[in-house]
Amino acid sequence: MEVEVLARDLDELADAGIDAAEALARGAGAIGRRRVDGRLDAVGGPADRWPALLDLYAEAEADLRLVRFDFATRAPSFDEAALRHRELTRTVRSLRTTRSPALAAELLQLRAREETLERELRARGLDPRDVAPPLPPERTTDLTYALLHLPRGMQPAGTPPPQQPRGLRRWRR
Amino acid sequence: MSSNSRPELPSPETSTLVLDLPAHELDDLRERARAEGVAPEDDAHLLRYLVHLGAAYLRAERLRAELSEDADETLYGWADATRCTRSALRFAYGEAARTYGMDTRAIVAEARFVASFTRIVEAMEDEAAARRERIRALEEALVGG
Repeated sequence: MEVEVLARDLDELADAGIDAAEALARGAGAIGRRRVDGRLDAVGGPADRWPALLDLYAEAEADLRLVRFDFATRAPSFDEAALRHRELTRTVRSLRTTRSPALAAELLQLRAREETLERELRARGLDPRDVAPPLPPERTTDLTYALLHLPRGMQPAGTPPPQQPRGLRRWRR
Repeated sequence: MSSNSRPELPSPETSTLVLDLPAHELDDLRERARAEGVAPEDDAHLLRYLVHLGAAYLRAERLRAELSEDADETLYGWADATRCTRSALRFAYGEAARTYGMDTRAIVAEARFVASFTRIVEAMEDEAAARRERIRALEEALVGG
């Protein structure tokens, strides 16, 4: 039968000269025979004090080491998830506040420039479609989403302010 | 709970103990642990618990052999300190596990957001390239025509 323990706990056992098999036998012997309902501040008189303290201490110590094993072995996963979350948050922020608004602004300028050139060509009697076919509608990106996610202060002129929650509006009246 | 505010933990490195325990004894231990209601019931936790439980008994019994007079008071101090440490560690572990759950859920949501936003950005880049090319053609026609 195999059981995993923290390397540090095993070192501590070795330093104390405690054999794991002996410890297992001692622990197994106590299960079902020890007192498990005691409180530290209510241990009995001198005759009863030592066995009560012994059971309380051993139970607390074993339980502490179980919690520590679980925590220590899961801590790397906790740290990894926290790091991944931080990285993703940075990526989301960069997409929302830098890449996407810059591209949306560039596209608005390009579309406007294209319209100006088309007007000028038409004024000269040329059909812009003969020069270069316009982009099919399916290649024209809907910028609503990108503009919706512009951070405050970067909204294009004319964007209505965000609606306040109904409850709050009623409360203000 | 961030790793900065976490109590100091030992290295996660583990060692494997090979224990000589016949299957019928393990069944009996499982049964007694269930009846007692304190020891964990799954095998890995139960065996780990028993090793630490037994080691604690042995440590305390050695203490009594060494300090026959003050052993009670010393053991009381050990028990008190262990119970306090356990409570603090259990709380910190609960908080760390809760934060981990939140991080994990947020990662799924944000990864989905990044994927959909990246598709939009790629479409925008594609459109910008096509428009730049068309603008060049229109400008050349204006200059030439």
